Amino acid sequence: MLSNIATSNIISSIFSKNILLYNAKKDLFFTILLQCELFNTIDSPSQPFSILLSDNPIDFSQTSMKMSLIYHVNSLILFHKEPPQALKKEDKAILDKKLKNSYRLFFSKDIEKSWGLATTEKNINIEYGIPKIDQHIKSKNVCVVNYHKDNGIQNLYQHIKNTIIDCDLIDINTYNNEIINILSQYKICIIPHDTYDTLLAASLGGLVYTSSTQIDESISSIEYIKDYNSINDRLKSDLDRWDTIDASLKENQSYIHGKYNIDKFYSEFNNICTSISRKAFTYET
Amino acid sequence: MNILYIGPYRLANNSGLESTNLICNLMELGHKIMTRPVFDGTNLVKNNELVSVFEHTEQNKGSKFDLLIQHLPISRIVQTSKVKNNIYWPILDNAGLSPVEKKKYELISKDGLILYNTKSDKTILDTNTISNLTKFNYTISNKLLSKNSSIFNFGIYNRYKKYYTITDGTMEYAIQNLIINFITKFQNKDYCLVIFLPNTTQNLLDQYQKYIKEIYTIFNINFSINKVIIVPIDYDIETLVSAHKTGDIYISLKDNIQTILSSSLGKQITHYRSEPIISYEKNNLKKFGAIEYKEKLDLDQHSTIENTNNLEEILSHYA
Repeated sequence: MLSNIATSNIISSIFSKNILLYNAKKDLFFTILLQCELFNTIDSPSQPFSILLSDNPIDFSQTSMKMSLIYHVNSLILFHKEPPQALKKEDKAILDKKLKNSYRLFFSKDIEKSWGLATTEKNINIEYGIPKIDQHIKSKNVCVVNYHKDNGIQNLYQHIKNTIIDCDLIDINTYNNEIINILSQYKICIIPHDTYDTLLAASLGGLVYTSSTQIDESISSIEYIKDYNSINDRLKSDLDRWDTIDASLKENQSYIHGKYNIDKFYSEFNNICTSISRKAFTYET
Repeated sequence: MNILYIGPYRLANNSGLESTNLICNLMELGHKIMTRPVFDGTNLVKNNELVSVFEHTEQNKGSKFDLLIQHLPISRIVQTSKVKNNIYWPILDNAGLSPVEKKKYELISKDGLILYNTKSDKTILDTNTISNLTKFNYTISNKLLSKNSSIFNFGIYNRYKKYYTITDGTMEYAIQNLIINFITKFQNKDYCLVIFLPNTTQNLLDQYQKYIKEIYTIFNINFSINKVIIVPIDYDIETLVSAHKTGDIYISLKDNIQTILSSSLGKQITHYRSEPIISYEKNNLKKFGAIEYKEKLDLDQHSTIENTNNLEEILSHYA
């Protein structure tokens, strides 16, 4: 009663440094946002904030959209990947209508095109930023990343573990450098879905297996896996010739850090957030 | 003066219209104003000329202001030190103040000015512990009055003297009482009563029609010509001005912006206040009981109101 979050948010968005409410899946991207000093990132509305972030357009349109209205802040939806195949053209049109009050941040032109949303000034494109992390000795062989406890990935881990004993499942949910340090110790990381996590893992100097289609083909340390049936043979082969592979990976790291410059990303992302948060929150029905 | 204003100007209701009017008044006084809207889930104003005014004030940029005006329900008002001078214009309901609300008023009155516009608001706020209360008289901005508006055509009713009111929300006691009074006392005169209902629902319209029919039946009055006309309207300034221009004498059920708008359009006004005192005769519990009126409806007593505006005086004196 003595304070009101909606009015406080309006005032905060005019006067304060950007405070982002991250109403999204906790992943490495979230970890990297947390580390930026240009803005603050929070994961619950425990204090006034200036922008609502979501990484799930469909869920946001169905359940979270009202949060923006309740809190009187503009929302920014992060489009990390292509839409699910089940999303038909007419569904996209409905989604576009439902998201008309939100700003949309695409991490590539291809992703923007794949969603088929109307082109508006609310559509923004930006490249990811990948931080430079101190390197660790690659003392372990293989890890399968499954922060979100996906059953399919759990089964994949079991399948690999039957053949390759030195394989770990990474399913801890911590959002600091600890998780990055852990990944840094593995020669090969298997990250089936997340583009950002894949790029970050590749920047740590190891090989990454992924099914994400949004990967720059110039990065040879990221191997695209379409079919996981023969993954054990592939792993064995790569581990056997590790010394040869290891030598070629340094080049990839420089490429990743050049293309996905973290300082540039932080600065651009903060500018985008400032531009959005300083705008009045309005909505159309 | 550089002013930051937070208020419900995008809402299609009386608070929204008051908010819009205040913004226009501030602009007419030459102040630079940046606005931020608040929403409460109710209808939004239609995309019209005034919305482009808001869009302009919303796009103004800056983070240095001489004054912050919060025109909000007390539950939504916040104390902030980001702006040196604060004016609060609370949107009050008629329920009085809870202890928590009273406490909050006490707190905000220590660092800002609290505005009220009506007698009933003053009665609610006038406690020993809430200081810094100032009566705010406003006039309707020319931007609102200059709207192009037509006149409603009521067919055979056009020849009657049209008493009218604009009311929203549920069918409150006051409006029920007005309908009873009008039907029972003025059915034979060349008067009709027009009730404009902004943003209404079919359900509420049905309730009104049913209620009017029941009154005619209960009091055995010929229903061949129903003198009570219910008109659903959109809540936008053009339609509201049309409604006021169509009517002859405004029946003010509450002191609000509609009364001031009618006065600004040169209408005569009759104030109708009705306290709900219902007494039932012994052994005769009719559906509506026997209603005693604290104040009788006297449609022949009406007057004009002189509108004054002390906004600039408040701003220059306070900030």
